[in-house]
Amino acid sequence: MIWKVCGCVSLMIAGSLCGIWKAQQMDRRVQTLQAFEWLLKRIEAEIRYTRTPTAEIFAGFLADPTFSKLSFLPELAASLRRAEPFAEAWERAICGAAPVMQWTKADSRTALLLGGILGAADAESQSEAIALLEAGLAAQQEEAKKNSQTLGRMYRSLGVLAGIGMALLFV
Amino acid sequence: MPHSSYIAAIERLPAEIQTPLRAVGDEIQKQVMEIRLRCGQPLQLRGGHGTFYLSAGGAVSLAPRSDNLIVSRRLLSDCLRRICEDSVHSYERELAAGFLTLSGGHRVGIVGKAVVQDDSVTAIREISGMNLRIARQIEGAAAPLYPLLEQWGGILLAGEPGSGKTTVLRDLILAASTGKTGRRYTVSAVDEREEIGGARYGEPQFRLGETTDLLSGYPKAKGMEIALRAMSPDWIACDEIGNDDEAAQILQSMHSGVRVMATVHAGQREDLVSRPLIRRLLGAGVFSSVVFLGKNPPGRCVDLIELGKGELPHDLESLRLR
Repeated sequence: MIWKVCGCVSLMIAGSLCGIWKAQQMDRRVQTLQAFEWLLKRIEAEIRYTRTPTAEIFAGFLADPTFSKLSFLPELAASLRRAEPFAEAWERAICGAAPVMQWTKADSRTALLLGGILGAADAESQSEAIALLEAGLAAQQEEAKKNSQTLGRMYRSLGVLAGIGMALLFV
Repeated sequence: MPHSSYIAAIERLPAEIQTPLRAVGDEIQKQVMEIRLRCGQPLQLRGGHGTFYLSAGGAVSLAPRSDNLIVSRRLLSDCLRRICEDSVHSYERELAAGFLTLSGGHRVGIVGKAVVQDDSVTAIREISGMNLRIARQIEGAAAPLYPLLEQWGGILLAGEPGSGKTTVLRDLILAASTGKTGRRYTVSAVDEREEIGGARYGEPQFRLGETTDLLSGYPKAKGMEIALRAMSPDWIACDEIGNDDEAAQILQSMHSGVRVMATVHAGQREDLVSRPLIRRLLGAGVFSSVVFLGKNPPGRCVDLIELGKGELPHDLESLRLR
């Protein structure tokens, strides 16, 4: 009997954890998109006010806990240290990290645009282009938040219910 | 074996240009002084032996051919971006001035459409051409001029663009600093355009000798003032003197007992005569020697004016020619 109870509880826990894990993935997308938006603002400020070279901007961000969820930063900073062209390094870093950050193809596409913008023109032109990028990103952030709230809750409930359902079947 | 200055100069160019440039034969690499990129035109390599046109495969020809590498607007933009280390915003001041200096002292001249505000160029857009000048250290380039270091006054190196003035100046600095004439001098090299020393993170990329202090990026007049106050030099060296502030500071140096070695754009005596600022400096007795450098080959002394101490000429044509 005790084994049956343990089995049922385990199944319920497993189901719930699956739901939570799925919901957390959706939260991760929201968090990384928020961090990316903040990153764009910081880049714009660095370019506009301090004219810091691109490689130094990203080297500085590495140590900033605000951007710890942006898993493309270490690879990007390493590539820039090796003096690789920014556009190529950016594309490789974003494409490599997008699945980890739970980004959709549209998120990646928007982010990849920065590869053609950053460091390619004077500060004013870059600021304007980054502002446009931020506007495009805002819609995706809104969608991610909405998904996280609605689908996230649904996944959590589904997880718990699936766990209960499997436990019942087990009994 | 590829020529190291040439390879270092092209290192930051995009692969599309860099690959054929690397494939160029060693003999040509040694000769190349300038790499010219003009929008819509074939890429050209200019050296002491003329102009070569580069093909996409790395072959060179003396006349344009159908397989030449044509420089597109996109390629120029890529070049600018790479030369600026993907940070065009960090080089706006240099771009507005029309040039920037790469690691190793290689200078890139950049032209395009100027954005003008209050009579000064604040930016350039729509880049139409670039000229990458390859800096080289040729030790001994100034060997015939070393005795001038022991004369009573300064040395003025005059020549047209591309006549090797900076290369000769760099070698004179090295000679003074390493005691090639028997005495080791303390030299302050004021390197406004970072061509003399090509410093990277404070370390000169060219040999300037162990008693040379390099003042990188300082406006020449300010750099000379600081050197005079703080570095106790025997010689102050600077490239391309041209304005009143610089002339005033050079006079100040002379009055402080410090000799000056400098370069100036002037192909012949008449060019010097036509420049009041240079006449003023010569008249004040700043320089004991004026050396004219030729372009074929670059760095060769084609004319030398030597002034005796106290000889203050009012007419340069009357100067003694050796």
